[in-house]
Amino acid sequence: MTAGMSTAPVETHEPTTGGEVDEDRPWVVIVWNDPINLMQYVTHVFQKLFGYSYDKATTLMLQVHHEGKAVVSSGSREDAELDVFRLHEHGLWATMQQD
Amino acid sequence: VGLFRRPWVRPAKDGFTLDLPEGLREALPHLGAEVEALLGSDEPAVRRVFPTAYPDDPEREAGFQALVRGELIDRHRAGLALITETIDADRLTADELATWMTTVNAMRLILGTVLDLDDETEPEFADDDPRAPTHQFYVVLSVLLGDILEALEAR
Repeated sequence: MTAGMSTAPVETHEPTTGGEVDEDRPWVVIVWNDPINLMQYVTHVFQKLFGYSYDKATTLMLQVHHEGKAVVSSGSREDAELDVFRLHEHGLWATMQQD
Repeated sequence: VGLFRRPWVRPAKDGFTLDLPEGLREALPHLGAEVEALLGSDEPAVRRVFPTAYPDDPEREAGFQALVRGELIDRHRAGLALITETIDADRLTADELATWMTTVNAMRLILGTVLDLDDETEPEFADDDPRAPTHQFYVVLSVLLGDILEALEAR
């Protein structure tokens, strides 16, 4: 993410583990750091899509920024797919995997 | 003129006021037309606009993309059309401004991808660098997006 004109970065990619899948385990939606999205924008999108407070959205945004990723929501596979779609619609790099 | 008369977007009693510099009002629909042409393509420039949901499950990824890719393209096209339709408007509704926000962000993603902005330092392009105009446009879009966010958050 970038803070206005200064950029921050590091695209990390961590493969999920394959193997047996238990349909009852919840799915988590992960947002990954990217070098283009503005920090203020990412915080705004977390508030808008998930109804998070400014403080919670900022904490998640900073986690993405500093640690490379953050879990932003969880639930059924259908819920996670909808969240991923909405995040993609807003240009955020979101993936989903079973917890 | 205009670049310094900011913010370009302000909260108003009933919606938001839009006061873009003339150069941007001319350039944005042109960029929109270029983006529109790219949206249905497999060009690397649009890869950030269409991220992968299931990076390690090609089967589910194919199913997900079959379900949503068309919808995502349609929404971005509608956003580009809205920007072109309202480029000379002096007032936007909250819904319209929200669409401007996601669409301007998609444009930034595409320009940033074309410029290969993927490291920690903000690049500097010499005036005679062929990428310089694209980078200038990218910076202007960043300013516009910042003004949109400030206006939305002031409500």
